Amino acid sequence: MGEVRLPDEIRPVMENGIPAQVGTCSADGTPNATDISRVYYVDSEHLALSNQFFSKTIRNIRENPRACVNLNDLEAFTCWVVHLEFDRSETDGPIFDAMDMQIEAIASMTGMSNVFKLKAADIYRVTSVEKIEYGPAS
Amino acid sequence: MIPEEIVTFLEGATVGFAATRDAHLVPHIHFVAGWIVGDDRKTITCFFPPNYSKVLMPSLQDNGQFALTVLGSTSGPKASKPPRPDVDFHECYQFKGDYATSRLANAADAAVVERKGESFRKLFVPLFGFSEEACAARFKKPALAMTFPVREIFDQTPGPGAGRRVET
Amino acid sequence: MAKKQPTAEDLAAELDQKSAEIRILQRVSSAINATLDLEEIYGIVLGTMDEIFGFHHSLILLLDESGETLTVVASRGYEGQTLGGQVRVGTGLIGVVAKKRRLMRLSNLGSQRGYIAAIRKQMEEAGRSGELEEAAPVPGLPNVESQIGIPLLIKDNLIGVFSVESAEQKMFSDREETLVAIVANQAASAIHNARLYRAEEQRRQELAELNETLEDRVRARTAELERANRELRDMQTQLVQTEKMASLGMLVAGVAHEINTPIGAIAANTDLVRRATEIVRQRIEDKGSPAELAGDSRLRQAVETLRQASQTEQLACERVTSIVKSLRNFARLDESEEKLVDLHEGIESTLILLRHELKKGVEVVKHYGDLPQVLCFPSQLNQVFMNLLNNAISATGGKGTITITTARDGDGVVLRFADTGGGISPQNLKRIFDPGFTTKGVGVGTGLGLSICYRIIQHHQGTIEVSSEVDKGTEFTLRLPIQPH
Repeated sequence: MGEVRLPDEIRPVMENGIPAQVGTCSADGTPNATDISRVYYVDSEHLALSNQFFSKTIRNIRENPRACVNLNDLEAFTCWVVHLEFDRSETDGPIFDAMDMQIEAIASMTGMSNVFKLKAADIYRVTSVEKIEYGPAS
Repeated sequence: MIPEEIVTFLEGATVGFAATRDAHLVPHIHFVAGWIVGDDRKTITCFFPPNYSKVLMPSLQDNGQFALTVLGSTSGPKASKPPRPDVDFHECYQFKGDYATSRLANAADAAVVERKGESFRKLFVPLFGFSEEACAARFKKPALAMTFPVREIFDQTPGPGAGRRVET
Repeated sequence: MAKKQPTAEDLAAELDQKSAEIRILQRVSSAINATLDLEEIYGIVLGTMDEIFGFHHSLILLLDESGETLTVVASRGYEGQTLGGQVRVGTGLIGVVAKKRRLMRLSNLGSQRGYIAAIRKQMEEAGRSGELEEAAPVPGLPNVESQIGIPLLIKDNLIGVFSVESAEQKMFSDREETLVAIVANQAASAIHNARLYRAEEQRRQELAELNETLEDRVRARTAELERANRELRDMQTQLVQTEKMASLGMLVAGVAHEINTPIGAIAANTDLVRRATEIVRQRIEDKGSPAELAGDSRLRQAVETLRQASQTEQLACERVTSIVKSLRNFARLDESEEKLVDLHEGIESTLILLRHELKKGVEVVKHYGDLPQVLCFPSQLNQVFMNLLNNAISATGGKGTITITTARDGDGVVLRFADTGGGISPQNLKRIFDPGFTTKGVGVGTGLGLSICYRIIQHHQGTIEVSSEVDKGTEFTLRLPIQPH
């Protein structure tokens, strides 16, 4: 199977500030949906999600590595559906450092340095990308 | 039964999305344009836009597993006094259950979606700077209505209580 | 999905844009490198951001010497005061960029602030406020949405941070980030060079000022050294004089002892002769002595002469004894410590020693007050009395009056030594207590007497003053505390 690559046009959508939705599923088949403020671009084949709190999402991924992320570009009447598979967790290196830097900056500005600490950068491999254009209202 | 304050929250909340999974345990996310609580406060009916995902119904028919996440409120149990839209927007609950029935959406359903669109517009335009047109495009006349009985409710508001199960 | 292929027009537009950007960067680089003035450099950098790139809010912060704080040295586009605003390294985007020495770009900070505020609210309601800190204020836009922070580095050494921010929910693009980074890197070099230049200029100026004031400072130092030298000479003189007086005192004691012995013998023999003479005289005048003896007038005269001679001898011995006593009193070798003494005794001893000089025609008038005993070094004060009286005698030229007045004055005593001599001119009066100053001519005296008197009185925490009128006379006034300290 050929490798799936993220198109360049998706990168601005990842940083447009609209929360993305993440879907996961436990090993017993129970789905879970949550929103996250930020998805990090690693390269054309990988995304990263920050692992700050031990959450249901993280628990599900440890059981079932498949995830689905919806990225919303309202002004373009577009939704990007990206399917992922958990690849690895990093606690150092350039990806972790870049994410850690951003989290540290925001946490220190808001008095949350004791609460927000990046535990790991979870790296996912992109398995599919779909652009859904739902068009304007009329 | 869904607690009264959660029903109130659902009436005022503006953002909804749901998760299903297919036969291969691959999760999918679906935009939910609107919702209503059943009179018995045991079920929720969700409304989907015309371009709803083609995997939605096959997944529900395969295993029935459904998780609805709703966030954003200015009148829920955790609303600030006075209201702070940028903070209260993050109040969030997840409703888990099994698919029961589905039908074509009707005019009453469309009216619910229109009201949701209006609330969304009022919140998102000043908060996020989106255009009216962008907001309106999300809340087209619904095509599908899907009902499920609520089995569990979880508090997903970010903070120390996140993940707590709400008593039903 | 198929990527849209760019058209020829798209490529041409892209090329034009890149060329324009390169030209801008070249102009900025030339302008920055053409100046060594820090304010000009700041103005060029911030002006480029604002007027050319359209980034209306930017800050330049420099790291302080401690390496812990960044201070705003230049700003553009902010209302109110931002200059001087500070950020701790590690706080906010600017602080973390400084800490990690890496570029950072953040966008949609408003929604993230809301998200975090929601968490804060939940934590506060759950009673976990203790885990929260106060949000650290940072200079910049309070409602910032997008921001780029670039470390200003000189060979891996951080000198500051450059920040560009926006309140619009637009995101800085990769291209814009690159442009800002290029300008910031150029600014880092220029700022570094300008600071080196400024430090060099400052050093040059300090050196020039140092040279200018060098002469003045050498002069001042020379005067200081001369003063110190004078003081040292005074102390040496005082020491020599003290030693001289000590030697003299010992000499006096030795002489006194040598004189006392024969004087004692003379006094004893004189008494014997007087008594023997008296016996002879009585026997001659007694009834029963041969008539020739009683009628021998020459014998009577001889006896009378013997009687008078022995009386004179006795008086002479008493006088020598008194002189020796005065000498001893003056030297007061047996009393070298501070002691309560009657100052009149010291004055009297001195007058006795100067009797020979006074006899020549100088009258001494004394107005002694009721003085208490004064705690002092008696030998030193006697030295002062000797000096003042000796000078007074010289001033009168052997004819005139010396008046000595003493009185109690509160916690002290006042002693005045006045003469009717020739007086001292005003210009000499100013220097009367200077060591070495003399009006007596070369080779006559050392000119040290009054300077030593001054020191002695100072040592007793007293004062000595002089007033004089030419052809009328001079008066020295001593004031001494009864109990110094």
